[in-house]
Amino acid sequence: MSIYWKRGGYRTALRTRRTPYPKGRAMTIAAVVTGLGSSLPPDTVSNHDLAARLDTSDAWIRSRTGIATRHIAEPGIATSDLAVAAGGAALSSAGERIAELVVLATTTPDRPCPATAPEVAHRLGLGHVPAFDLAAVCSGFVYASAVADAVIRSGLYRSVLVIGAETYSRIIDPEDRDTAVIFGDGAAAAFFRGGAAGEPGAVRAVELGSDGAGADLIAVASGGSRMPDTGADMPRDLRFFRMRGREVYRLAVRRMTASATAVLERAAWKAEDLDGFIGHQANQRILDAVAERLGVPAHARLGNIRAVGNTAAASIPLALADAAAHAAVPVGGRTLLTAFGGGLTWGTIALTWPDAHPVQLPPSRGGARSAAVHSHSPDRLEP
Amino acid sequence: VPDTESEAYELVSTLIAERFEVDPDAVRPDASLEDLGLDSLGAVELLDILQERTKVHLDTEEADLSVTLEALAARISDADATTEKP
Repeated sequence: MSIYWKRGGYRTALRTRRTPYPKGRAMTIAAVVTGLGSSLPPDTVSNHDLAARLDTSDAWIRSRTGIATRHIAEPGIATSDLAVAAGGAALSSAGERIAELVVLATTTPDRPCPATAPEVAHRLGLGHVPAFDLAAVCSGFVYASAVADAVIRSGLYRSVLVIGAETYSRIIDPEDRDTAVIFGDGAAAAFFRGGAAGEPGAVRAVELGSDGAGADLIAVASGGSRMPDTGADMPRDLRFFRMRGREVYRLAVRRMTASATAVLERAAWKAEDLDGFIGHQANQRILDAVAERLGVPAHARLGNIRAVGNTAAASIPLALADAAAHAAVPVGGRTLLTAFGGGLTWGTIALTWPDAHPVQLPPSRGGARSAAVHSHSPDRLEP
Repeated sequence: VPDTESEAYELVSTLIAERFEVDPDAVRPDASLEDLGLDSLGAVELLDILQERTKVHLDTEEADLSVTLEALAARISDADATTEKP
């Protein structure tokens, strides 16, 4: 009998829905990743497609970003549709049907209110489990994984589904060369459960940080309480996502390098001994600079930015799932996930490589309730 | 922190040769960052590493590809070592 049954009666009533523990392991000592899932919209936009309408070229985009193509959700597909598919894929990968908490990391929720996570949990058939969105822009997955680690180790919940899902195509200015060539849509998820520190996939150390002094460097200026208007007469600089590329580049390299260094120290690992290193896939040049400064060996540097672009909160789990699908790291290998994003926010997680076979699913089209709401305003269904 | 311009030039030229794929023969005092094949992100990376090593504030927002190695070295050796922003 574990300590968890001794809480309030309502928890006892829910016992049949709770994640079972392996026998003889009453105490959780680590959060362990046991499932990975992803979902990418089928439509893609190549550099040549972009060069046809923007003052840019395939060579320019590749040399500055390392990106060749990105996936874009067709009209009518929302962040939740990607999140449901990725979350369902991660549950399936883990061989689980339930998660006790759902955390959705996203910059692009379905709507400003309410949060998207409860709808995702509902559509995944998870019943009345708690679910919330976490807004840390490109650091979202690392932030959400840190939450999963903390709530599992505290004993509050025994399993957490962490999803990073984004549809940046909805907030990017198609005429802004600096951002239109970088961002793509997609989602990926990791299933965490309580387990032993020695298991593959166990989180070993975490570090998070933020600096609001840089809040304007990566921003969508309007649509919030400071500037509620979002109408078409709004200047493009205020209406769409904007990023100050050079300063962001410099800070991203510095912050990820410092954060990764701190976590390596906490984990008592050395950069040269890493088997897997995944940085937020903002730009290949940033990833190279961080890995170079840390001294990460070339074979450990993982990512799929070439095929998916920058997918913000989905970028790290997409790279994780991609690397796991290619068995790029031995199970149990020393792995570092590091991120930097708007806020500014940053964070790093050290874990061992999970024993998980990733599952990929196409975007879910089950947003029945949203479709019903939208049917009252047919103009919103127009592409 | 390099005191003299020749020390600063030594630092700049060594760093460029080590960290960027640059033809060593092309690394000369009168070569600009553009001559050496750096793009804007390369310039930001170079200035940021120089800033970390020398503690001299170099504005990466104004990273100028036409600056020569000589001029960059002069900016470092002339500057106060305490001007880096926190």
